[in-house]
Amino acid sequence: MIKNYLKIALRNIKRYTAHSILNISGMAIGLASAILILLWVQDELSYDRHFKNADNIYRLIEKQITPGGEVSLFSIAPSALTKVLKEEYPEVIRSSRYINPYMILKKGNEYIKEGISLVNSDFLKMFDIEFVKGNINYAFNDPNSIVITEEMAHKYFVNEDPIGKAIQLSNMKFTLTITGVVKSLPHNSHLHFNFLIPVEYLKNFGGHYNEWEMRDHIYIELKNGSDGEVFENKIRDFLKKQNRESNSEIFLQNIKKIHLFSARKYTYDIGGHGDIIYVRIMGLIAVFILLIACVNFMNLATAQSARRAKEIGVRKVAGASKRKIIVQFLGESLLIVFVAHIIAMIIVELLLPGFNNFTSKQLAVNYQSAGLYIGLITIVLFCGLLAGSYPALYLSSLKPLNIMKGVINRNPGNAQFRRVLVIFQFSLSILLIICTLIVGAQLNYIQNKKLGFNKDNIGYFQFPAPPWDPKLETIKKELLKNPNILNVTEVLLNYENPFNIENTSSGYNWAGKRKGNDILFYELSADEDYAKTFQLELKEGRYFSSEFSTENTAAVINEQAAKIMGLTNPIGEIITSPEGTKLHIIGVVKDYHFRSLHFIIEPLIMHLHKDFNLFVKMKPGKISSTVEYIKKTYKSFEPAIPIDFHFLDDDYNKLYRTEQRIGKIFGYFSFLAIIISCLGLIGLSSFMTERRTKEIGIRKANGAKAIEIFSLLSEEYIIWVLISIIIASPIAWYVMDKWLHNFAYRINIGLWVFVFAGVVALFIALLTVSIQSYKAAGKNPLEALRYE
Amino acid sequence: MIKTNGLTKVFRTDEVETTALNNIEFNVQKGEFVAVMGPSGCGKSTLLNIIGLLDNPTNGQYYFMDKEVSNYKERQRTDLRKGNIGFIFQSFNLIDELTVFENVELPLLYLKMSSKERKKKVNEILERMQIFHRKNHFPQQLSGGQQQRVAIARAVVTNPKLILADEPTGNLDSANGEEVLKLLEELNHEGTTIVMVTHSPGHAERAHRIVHLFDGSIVTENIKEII
Repeated sequence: MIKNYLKIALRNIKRYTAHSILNISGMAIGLASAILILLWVQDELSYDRHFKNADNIYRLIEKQITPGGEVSLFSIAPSALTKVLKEEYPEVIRSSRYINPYMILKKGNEYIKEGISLVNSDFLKMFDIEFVKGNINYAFNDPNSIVITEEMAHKYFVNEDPIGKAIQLSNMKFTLTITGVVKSLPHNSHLHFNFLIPVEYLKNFGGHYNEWEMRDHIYIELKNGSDGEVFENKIRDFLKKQNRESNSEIFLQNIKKIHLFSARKYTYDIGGHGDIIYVRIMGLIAVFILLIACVNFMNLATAQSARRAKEIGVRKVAGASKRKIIVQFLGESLLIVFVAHIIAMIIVELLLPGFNNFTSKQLAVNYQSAGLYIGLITIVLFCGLLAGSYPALYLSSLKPLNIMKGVINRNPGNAQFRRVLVIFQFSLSILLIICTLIVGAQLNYIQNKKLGFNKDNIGYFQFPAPPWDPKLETIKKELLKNPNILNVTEVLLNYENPFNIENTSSGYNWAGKRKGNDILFYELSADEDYAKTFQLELKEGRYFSSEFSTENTAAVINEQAAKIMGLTNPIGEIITSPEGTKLHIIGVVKDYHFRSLHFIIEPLIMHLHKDFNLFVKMKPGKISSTVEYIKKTYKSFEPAIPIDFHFLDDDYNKLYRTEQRIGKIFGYFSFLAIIISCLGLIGLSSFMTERRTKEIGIRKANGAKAIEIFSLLSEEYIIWVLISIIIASPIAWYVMDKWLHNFAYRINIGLWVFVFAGVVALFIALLTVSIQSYKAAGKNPLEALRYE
Repeated sequence: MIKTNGLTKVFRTDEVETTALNNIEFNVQKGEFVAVMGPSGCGKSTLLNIIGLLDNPTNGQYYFMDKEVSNYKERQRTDLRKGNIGFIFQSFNLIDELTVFENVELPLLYLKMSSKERKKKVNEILERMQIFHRKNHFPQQLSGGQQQRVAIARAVVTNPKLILADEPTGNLDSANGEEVLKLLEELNHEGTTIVMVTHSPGHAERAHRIVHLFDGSIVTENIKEII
């Protein structure tokens, strides 16, 4: 029996090649897209799960609450907790700090600035660090030891055994000895390092550091069987017990949650996190695409029911039960989906390199994983059974009676359901188009919004010298000799992300401050050229100037700070810093976006300070030659350590990289959804046109023009698309409104988006069906009537 | 074999109600060859559909092989029809995607016969119908007469007790039509009960009895030979 089903399925595929290709390709594209997305989703969800004791490894989160009730969350906590928690709580079996200092190593004449981390020895076992050379138990015995990854060993110790070799800290007298070579952590870890140095190394610098005031990323490992929540409750008020004045609480974040549940949540966090929202969105998109492909299949299969009606009638007359017909047609659809999935896997392999490039990942299909085959079988079964269900149920319910006289079944219920399917497909496609347009509009808004300062043509670099080193002033003067360099300023900023100002303080006092009204102020420390370089607009007063000797006790604030402090005439007012320093306000700058547009403009207090981050404003049109000059000048001052030069515009774009990616993803998958929908529409329209051949012939014989026939055939599709727009629009509005609320500054969703999406969908639908309609409209009416 | 009491079939749509069969008393003995005649729309095909267990009457009783089947569900009708009733249609109704062999084999597949047995039966019947030499051809490659012979082969391959033929010669020329009638007579002589709907009085004369239908009712019966 199965042989008979298979024979007829294959012969039908061969007989109706064009429609088979439409069906298989629509399904293959849908499957390929879904598989690519699911590979990405699987990778995102896999972060940090590979650590053996991942369930028991947590990082400490510090929650600071001001008396006024303002809450700040930090992914760093007092360094002292590393030792103290392990000593006082038997549940804690391991703990480690994780510090990523700005360090440059030197090997011979080579300077290495690649992923250097300082950790405790517990880190090695906590994170399953696999030693290729050396011994995990002894590698950190000496505070001046260093462990390197295989990759670094290949890069810097070609043809030699790195063990025992020396690496220096540049410009420092300390030499580190390589005591181990380890495998890098897998890419799906939130931690990344190339070199590991024991934290004890810091003792080389002498001095007394209060480890309760120092803060680092801290990881702890609990004993197997411990309850994280219970332990968290135990340690929550630990800091308050150590210091009565502390308003901080300690929380635990399991490492499996770090990658996806930390985006924009914690100050001083490690970069490179994903976001669970986007994982969910991508998962939904994968499901949408599959649904569209399945709906396509359903539509095409039921549209072919006229052709299969005779066969079904004959089978029923010959003794086939309804169940047997269902099994036959479900089997056919499973066969088609199976063929489509093989094509899909080929498409996936072809597209993976580009997809990896786009997502900055290293995704691959693991053909040795049982999970892959289970996943594929599940998808094939799901799609095959879903897509085949309606056609199988519909076809099996056809009455054999009508075949007696060769009458094709024209059950209107079938046509109604197919309309619903097409409307569903187009609604999903229009939804994706609207989302693409809104994301694009928001990104455009971000790119073009006036930030209150000018970031154009600004490059920056760090000069490896302490802030008080007079070389900084000298290099600044030297740079300014170039007429293409308009300004240079020294700023204390997060070098990895200058737009992520994280220095905050809540201990400021001012006249008229209400008791308990502790506001969190952002702090920026820069020299007197900062305002000029970034073209800040001054509202009143002045900026810092070397003409005045009292600038060390001066402060410049932004409008928001003045508003929050309730200062109507801020110039001359005294504010007291948390350290007790009295600062007199000399100027108020107009509010500007010193952080990303995800956040509102917070109150800002600026201090005068020299630092080793130099920001250079260059003349437009002369950028490359100016950058060359900067590099040459730098080298003349620091021949040993290479310059690490960046453009501020690139950093600004990085702030919205996730949104840019999402925008692109929406764009690509809208395009795919429309393609699949169109494939289905091509097939459907050819059947619908064929069904109306007699009607068209009669109309033409009675004088209808080709354009009138074309309109007659097309009007049905116009109605379908209009209904789809009405369904998709409110859903799209709701979803995108929620997404836009991630931004403190956002566009208003205008009507134009819905109109434009509808017009695009309509145009594509009409274009797709126009070929069939045009052909039918131009046919000789005699041919059509002879059809009877 | 076939007995109906007050058999009525009414087709209802939103606007129209049509009485296709009106209180029919239709009996067929085992081994009879009955022809049913009447103008277009008189209810011949409807009668054949109900007798062939492809549809249920609206009212009345239908006894097939002494079982009252008028309220049988589709599954029960399918089970009873399998192997007991063979159909021959005016438009042949062969499946274009199957070869001659596969078309004839079809009813045997639903009887869960073994592959060896199926092959034997199909080949035998194809030989008898003189169509064996075309067993690997598709219907589109055959003439009208050949296609009808295949359809007859399919109808009789299960040795059914009853054959229902709905205008079996309607799409054939006289020579081929005559061939088909001869085959039906042969089958009847071998004991198969045959009910044949026809427009041709000449063909109807070949049956034992002719039943005339008009507007859903039996108007006359001409008995040629009582078995």
